[in-house]
Amino acid sequence: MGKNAVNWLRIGWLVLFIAVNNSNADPVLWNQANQEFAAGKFDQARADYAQLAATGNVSPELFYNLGNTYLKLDDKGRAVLNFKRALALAPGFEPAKHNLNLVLQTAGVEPDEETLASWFANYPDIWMLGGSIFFWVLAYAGYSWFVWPRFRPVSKIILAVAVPCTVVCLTIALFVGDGARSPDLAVIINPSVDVRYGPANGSRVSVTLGLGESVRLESERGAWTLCRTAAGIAGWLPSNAVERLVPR
Amino acid sequence: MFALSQLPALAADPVIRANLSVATTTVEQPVELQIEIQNARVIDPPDVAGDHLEVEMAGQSTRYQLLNGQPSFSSVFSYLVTPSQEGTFKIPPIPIAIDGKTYYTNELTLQVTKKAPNNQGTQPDKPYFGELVIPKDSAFVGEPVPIELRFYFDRRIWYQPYPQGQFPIIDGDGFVTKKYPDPVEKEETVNGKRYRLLIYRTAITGVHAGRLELPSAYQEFLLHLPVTQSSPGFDDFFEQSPFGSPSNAFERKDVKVETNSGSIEIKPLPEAGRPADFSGGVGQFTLETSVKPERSKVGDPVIFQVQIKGLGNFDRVQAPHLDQMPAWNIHPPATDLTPLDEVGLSAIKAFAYVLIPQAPVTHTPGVTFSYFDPAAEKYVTLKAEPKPVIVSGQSILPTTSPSAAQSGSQATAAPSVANTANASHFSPSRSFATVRQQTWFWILQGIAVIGLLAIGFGQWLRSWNAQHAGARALRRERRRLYRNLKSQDAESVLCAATRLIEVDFLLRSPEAIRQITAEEAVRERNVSDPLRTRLLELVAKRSDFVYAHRFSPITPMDRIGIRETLHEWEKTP
Repeated sequence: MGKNAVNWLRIGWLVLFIAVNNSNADPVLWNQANQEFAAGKFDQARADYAQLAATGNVSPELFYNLGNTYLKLDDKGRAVLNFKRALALAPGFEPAKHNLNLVLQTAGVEPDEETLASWFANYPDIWMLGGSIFFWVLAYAGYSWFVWPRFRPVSKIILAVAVPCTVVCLTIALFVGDGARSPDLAVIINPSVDVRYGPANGSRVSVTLGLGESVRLESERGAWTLCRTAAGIAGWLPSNAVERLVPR
Repeated sequence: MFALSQLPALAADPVIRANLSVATTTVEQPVELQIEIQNARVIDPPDVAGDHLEVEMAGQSTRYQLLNGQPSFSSVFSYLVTPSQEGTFKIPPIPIAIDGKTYYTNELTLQVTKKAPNNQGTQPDKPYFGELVIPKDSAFVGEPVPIELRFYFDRRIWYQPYPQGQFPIIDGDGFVTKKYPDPVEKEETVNGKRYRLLIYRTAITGVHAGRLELPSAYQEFLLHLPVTQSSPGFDDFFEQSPFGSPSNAFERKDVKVETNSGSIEIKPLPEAGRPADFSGGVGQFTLETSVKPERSKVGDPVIFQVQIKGLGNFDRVQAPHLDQMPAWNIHPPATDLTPLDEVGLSAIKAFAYVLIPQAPVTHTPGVTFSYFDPAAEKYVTLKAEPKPVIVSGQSILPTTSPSAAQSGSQATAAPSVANTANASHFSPSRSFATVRQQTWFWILQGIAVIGLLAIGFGQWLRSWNAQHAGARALRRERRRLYRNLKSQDAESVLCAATRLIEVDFLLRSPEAIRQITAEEAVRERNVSDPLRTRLLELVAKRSDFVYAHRFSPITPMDRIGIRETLHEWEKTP
């Protein structure tokens, strides 16, 4: 029985290892893009990085490099977008954070301050995974508390730990949703853009957003997109002034 | 008082502010000085003095409040400051002792102009009239000149600007005015009569040289005029004594109250001695700088704040000039204006520069700011020495000759400051999909659910088995006993039959575990008498056989009879 369990564990670990390392990254294209960047061929490097990103096998480094390439091409909006993408994948990625702040500062935009809510939103997986693990620990401990009285002292301790952890984790998970990796999140890529009450240029302006500001997209109508700003203001902005954080 | 003595210790540092109600006034026209002290308890009013200024204590107020659970205590000391002669006077920093330490207020400047010409003589003895007060005969282009628009009303007239919130309009061109603060109401005696007075304060700034004529200023008011018994209207208003036969009736009237005209000579700013960095600031200013943080690394921005404080045309004050230093990448500043009086002539304009060090450096750039001082009639250039700062790290300056484009208002392109060394490593298998969007996460949840259900089912099965084990054993025994009925051994048949009576009773009884004899079972169950007799005979026969050893053979007919009796027993309700 013990030997069988060890064998099953080995097989499971192997399957997980294969699954995790199921990388479709094209190392040739990656190296080629890096060489083009180093040689100053930024247009070609951008095309290659974009092709790599389109395969869906993405990494913080890829978006960081793409951001730098856009920076070299003096497209600050897309540079900010790609630095934000890199940070959405790896919130602690210092080079991306550094460059993002500098680009925003040079564009005259105050970089976002890291609040508790934004910190929660940077790690949506932790709250969901933690919440589900604690929930199941809670469920099994609660079950054993009812069914096996002899385990009650242990179950009680487990329940005392698991109940608050579950509540905290699941509340945060509910609050942040997909967090910084939400498919609805988008970034303003123009130096500034007017958010209007209606999908027309003649419509009244409700607020003006600056480069790199995040909005939540709600619907699209022609060349206009209905969005909600971080302050909760809903309005229409031109679709070409905004790009989704999660590439489609 | 007791409540104050019970206050918890005020942990925050004291904050001291001093301000004047207006930055300019005329000779013998008092202004209010307020000193506000927060986060400290000061009982004795601070001593205030200034050359040619008469200072009188006007009052003191204290306030205690809890903000977000933090106690906040503030004292406000009010003074009336009356200048005795024309000129620009400074109220020096006022020392305030708090807990053994001495703090100082900010320095204040009061500009005093000569007393306004008395226009009262020109006004007829009317129930209401307007007055334009321009305290100066001349000013320079760009120099804000404080003016007052005074509207006098007899005390018995109720008045209100019409439309409500409307501010006076000044005729003329070649000048700009400041935004009006809320008007001030006072009472004053003119030619021996008491008037209520509504004073609008603002400042005008001449935009080009020459004589600036102000034909008049006017404001519309809605008046409630008392109606006399002789005839209504204000023409004969003053023919009546204020206390002589007035009626309680009032007449509403919408009137346009005009002031007298005025003029001022606007002088051009001198060309001689104009500094290259002069941007149009006219007044008296001071310059202060600060840097935060004082320790940084190459590439990490620091905020360099330059404050221009004083009295003048702050709307024309542009960002000061920062000395060029290749080690600093200077970005355009963010500007913040804090007015210190209600008109905004006295203010603090702060410029916050983002400086990004490109190399280790020990001080900030020096700052220069030039303005024209109308009192001294000359240009003044203020210089702030570089502030010490410690920047460590490796230089990221290009090895070629440094760019000279990094001036105070020029931003450089970001790529030169950003770390654009691309990453060569590729971390595979990152995805924007969160765990909620991953199939494996939901498979694991399913496994956890199934595991919990499986454990529950197993537990239920075990308890069900435990609950029904007795009945199952009895049913097994019944099957075995029926087989025994076929035995040739008479004792076995009779024992099996007797036990079958007991087993059937136990199976159908809710308390199937308890022990019972066949005889008791027969007596307890409600059966027909013939059947009971047959059953009891069967039980007696078995007893005879077992205990009395009275053997009687079991014929095939007996077997059939026993079976039928047992079947009947089992069918009984």
